[in-house]
Amino acid sequence: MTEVEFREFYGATAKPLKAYLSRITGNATLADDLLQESYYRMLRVDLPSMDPSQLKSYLYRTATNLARDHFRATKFQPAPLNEATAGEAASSDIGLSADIQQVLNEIKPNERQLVWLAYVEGASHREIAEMTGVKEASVRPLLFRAKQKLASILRERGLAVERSAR
Amino acid sequence: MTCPREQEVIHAVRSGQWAEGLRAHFAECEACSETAMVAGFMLQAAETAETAAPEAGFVWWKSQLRARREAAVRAEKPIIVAERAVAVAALLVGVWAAAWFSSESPALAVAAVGGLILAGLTAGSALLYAWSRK
Repeated sequence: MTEVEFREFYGATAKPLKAYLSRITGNATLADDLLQESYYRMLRVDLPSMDPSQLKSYLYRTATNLARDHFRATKFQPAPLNEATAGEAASSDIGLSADIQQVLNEIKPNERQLVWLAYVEGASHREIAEMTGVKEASVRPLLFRAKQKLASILRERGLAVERSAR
Repeated sequence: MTCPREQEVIHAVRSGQWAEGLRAHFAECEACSETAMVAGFMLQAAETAETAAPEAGFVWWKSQLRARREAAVRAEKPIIVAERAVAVAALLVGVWAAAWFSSESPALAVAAVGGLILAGLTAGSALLYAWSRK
């Protein structure tokens, strides 16, 4: 990959990837480290020619694996929303962002990955399987359970967000 | 409880565009209502997430630098192995020579052991100096 190609790809993927890593780890500084490591690993391997969506899948799979390794190594304890995270957000968003992170921290990291990829990235079950290393047939039940768990937490906390058809 | 129209609902929540038929279905379907609630929450999580990432040029430069450093370490590995192998071989030859000299004459053996120690110290210092400069 040339520098120009890298800059273009990075411009299209870095912010969504940073958001993904920030939310699944709950730590913006760690998310930065994982993001840089993910791009480094992508550049290091001699990838066969891939279209941007395949490359994006590869990048997310690498990032997901790195986050998983981190959770295993540290026996994951969700970090509180740190200053680096809060510092970037508008002041009115800080409380909201922290509330959202607290809700996300109540589900397992792998569940967070699944719901993010399905609902934020709009990834299909096959794409989620590629990005997370979970079998395609297992994505549906795992995603269903994660969705139910999250929905129940949102109802308990009275945080259900209305984005309905009304 | 799942619904075959779940993907359509996710797409509608993400785009904000609801087809009439889907709107009517949504009003009646509990599974889709739950999906829309979770999808809406996740989108809000994405909108308020930290997204500031380092500059592309910085990440590129750091990757190149790290790749060069790792290549240098890989290239040095055989040299280090060779250096150690030579050191071990020299020691074995020295011990064998000392044994042979002692069988010929005790004075020669003392001289050989002395020479061996001197050569070992010199080689050790040279290696230490070389490694400290890497």
